[in-house]
Amino acid sequence: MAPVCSKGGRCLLTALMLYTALPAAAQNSTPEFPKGFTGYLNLQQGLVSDFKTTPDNYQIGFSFAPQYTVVPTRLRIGAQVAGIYTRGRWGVQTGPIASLRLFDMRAGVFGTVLNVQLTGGHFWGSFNQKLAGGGIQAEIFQLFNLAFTGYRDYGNHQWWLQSSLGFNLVRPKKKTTSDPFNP
Amino acid sequence: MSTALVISGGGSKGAFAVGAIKAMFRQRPGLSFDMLIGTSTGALIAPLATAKDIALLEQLYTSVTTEQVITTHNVGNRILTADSIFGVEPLARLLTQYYTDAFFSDLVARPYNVVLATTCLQTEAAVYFSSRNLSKPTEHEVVTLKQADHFRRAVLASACQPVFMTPIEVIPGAQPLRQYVDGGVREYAGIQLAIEQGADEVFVILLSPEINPPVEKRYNSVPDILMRTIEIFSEDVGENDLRMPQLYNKGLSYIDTVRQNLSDHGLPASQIDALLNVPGNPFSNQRSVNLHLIRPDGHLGGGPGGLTFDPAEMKGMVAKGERTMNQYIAGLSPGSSILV
Repeated sequence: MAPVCSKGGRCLLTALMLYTALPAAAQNSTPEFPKGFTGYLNLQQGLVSDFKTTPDNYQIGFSFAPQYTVVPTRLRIGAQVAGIYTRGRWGVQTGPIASLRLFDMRAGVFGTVLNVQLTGGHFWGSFNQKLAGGGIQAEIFQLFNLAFTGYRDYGNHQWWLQSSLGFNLVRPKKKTTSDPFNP
Repeated sequence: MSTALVISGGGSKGAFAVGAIKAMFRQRPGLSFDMLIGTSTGALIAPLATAKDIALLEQLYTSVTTEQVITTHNVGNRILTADSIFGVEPLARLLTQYYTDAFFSDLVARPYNVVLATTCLQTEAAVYFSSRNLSKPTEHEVVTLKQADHFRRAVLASACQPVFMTPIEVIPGAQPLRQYVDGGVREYAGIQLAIEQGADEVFVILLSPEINPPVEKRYNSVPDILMRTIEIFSEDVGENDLRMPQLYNKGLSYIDTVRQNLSDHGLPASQIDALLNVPGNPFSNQRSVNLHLIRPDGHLGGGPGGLTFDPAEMKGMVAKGERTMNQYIAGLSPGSSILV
C-alpha cells in the first residue's frame, strides 16, 4: 500500500505549491503561525475500520505534537507521538507531521481569533501500523485546537478516522510587564 | 497676552489637526504659542506643532500606515497572555526615531511649554507631563520631564488607549508603580489647564464633530458595540471638557452686562463692586477667555477609534483641517485674535 503514502505526500506537496504560489497580497499579513514552537497535547477519539470485513472499533488516546514554524504565517513541521487504545490494547504511533495555514477568522480590526490548517502526517506504530493522511484543524487563540483527521493504515488495510482536542503546552507565557521601548 | 493650543485625541484623525495647524502657520508664519497641550494623538502632534516642524508633521500624518503604529495579534491569545490587544512597538520605534535625545534637549530650551495629558491607572488621576515647569500653581498633577526617554514614554502613554494599547511606565522603576494610559480617559482636551495657567486665547482643535449624525447601522457584534460605546464615552468626556469654560465665559459675560447696566443706571463703580463681589462669587478673579473651537463638520473616518492609518484618507483629513481653519480665520473680526 505504499502508493497511498506517496499519493498523500504528492497531494500535500501539490497543495503546498499552490498555496505558496498565491500572490503575497492574497494571503494577507497575519499574526497566526508566528515564528517559534508550538506543542499541542491532544486528546483524540474515533474509529478504526476497513468498512468492509471487520466491525468498526472505537479508539481513544492522547498525543503530543511539537512543531516549529519553518515558514512564518504558513508552514509548521514537527513530529507527533501518540498512545492509543483500541481493540483492547494500547499501542504507540510516531512520525512526522506538517501543518499548512489555509485561512484565518478575524475579529475586525482587532486581529485574528483562529486559523484553519491543512494537516498531514505519516506515522509508524505498534502492530505493523503505517498511517498516512491528514485533515483539517482549527487553532483557536493559539492555545487550543480542534481537529478532524483521516488516516489510511496501509500496514493493516484500515482507516483511522478521528477528532481531537488539544492544548498548546508551549503557549506564550503571560508577561508581568511589557515595555514597547524594550520589547 | 498668553496663548495656548490644545489638541484632542483621535488617532489617525490627528491629520485634521495637522491641517488646521498648517493653516494657522500659513496665516501667521511667526505664530508661537505659550503652551501646547496634547492628548493622545494630540500628544504626538504637540511637540512638532511649530512653524519649523509642520512640514515633517504633515509628512508623518499623510504617510504613516496602521502597521507603522500598531501590531495586531490573535485577540484571544493577547487577552489571556498580554496587557493589550494591540502591540505598540512600531509607534515606540517611530517616537524613538523622531523624538530623539537632541530633539528633547531642544524642546526644553524653547520658551513655551509642551504638556502631554495622561491618565494614571493606579490613582485614576489626570496627570500632565510638561517640558517645563508650569508658570502658576495648579490643582492638577503635573510632572516636569527631565529625560528624553521619559518624554518619549509620556507621549506614548498619552496615545495608548487602555485595553487596546499597553499601559506605559513613564518613569520606569519608579516607586510606587505608576502606569499611564491615554489622557482622553479623563480629559478629552486639556482646556482647563490652559485657562488655569493664564491663557487669554485658547485654540482648541477637536477631532470629532459637534453634531454627530446618527450612524444608521445595526450593531450586532461585540467589537462593533464596544468601539461605538467608547466613541460615545469619549465624545461625552469631550463635551464635558468644553462645557465648563464655555459656562464660565457665559457667566462672566453676564456679569459684565449686569455691571454695564448698573453703571448705565448711574451707580458708581465702587457700589457696583460692593454689590457684585459677595463672598462665594464663583466669578471673582476670573476673566473671560477667547476660546476658539475648531472641529470637523462631520465624521472624519479613520476607522474605529481612529486606529486605521490610511495615508490616502489622512491626506483628505489634512485638507479638511486646512479648509476648516481657513474658513474659521475668515470669519474672525480684525483684532479679535492673534491670527487676524
